Amino acid sequence: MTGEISKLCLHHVGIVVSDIAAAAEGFIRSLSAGWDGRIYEDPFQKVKVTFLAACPGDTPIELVEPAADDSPVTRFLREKGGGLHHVCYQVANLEEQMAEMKSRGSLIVRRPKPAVAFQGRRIAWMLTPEKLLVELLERQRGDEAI
Amino acid sequence: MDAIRDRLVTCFQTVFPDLPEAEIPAATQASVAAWDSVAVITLANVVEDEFGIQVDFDLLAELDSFGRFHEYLCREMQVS
Repeated sequence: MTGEISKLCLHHVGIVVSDIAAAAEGFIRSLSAGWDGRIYEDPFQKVKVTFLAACPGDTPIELVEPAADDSPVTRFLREKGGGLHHVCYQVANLEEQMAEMKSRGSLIVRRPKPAVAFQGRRIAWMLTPEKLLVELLERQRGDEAI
Repeated sequence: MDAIRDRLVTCFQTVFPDLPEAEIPAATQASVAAWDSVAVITLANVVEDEFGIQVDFDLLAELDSFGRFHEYLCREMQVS
């Protein structure tokens, strides 16, 4: 079945780590990944994030480190020890995509909030019936939308 | 039992079908093994659908028992 799902564009995959700098060094070694060393601290999402890519232009790997005890990824890190956490898709309209996914059985995990790492573009979180955690990133900032 | 409590019991029955109804009012995240991180999200979505409200997902960590969920809903339903 295609339809709305075909409008999703993979943006990055997220990996939860306890220490971004240490994990980045590891991925640089294991995947020969490139890293610009930029770390974003996001008070809205309560995380620190950075991006690496195995080759220029490739879908990035996002490393996510909790920035507070009540960070959304703290429990995942504590219980699972970190690791592959989510996939992020870029979408044209966040609310419409969430409604579409909900109608197909996905659960809302977090409603839209601006994200520092994406220049204030909003992100939202959904959990599919297959237990895949999906981050939705709006293609342009909400206040820029026509 | 008040109406909100009755409807919340129904939500808990949906999310935790193995939990005996008599145990639901005393249920806490610590006492119900099935109340994991996925159940937290499932419960919030079921409550939203049942009560027609938007749960503040930033508060989910605090809504760790039937009683706290009930108090939260009583506040929310009073506002709306």
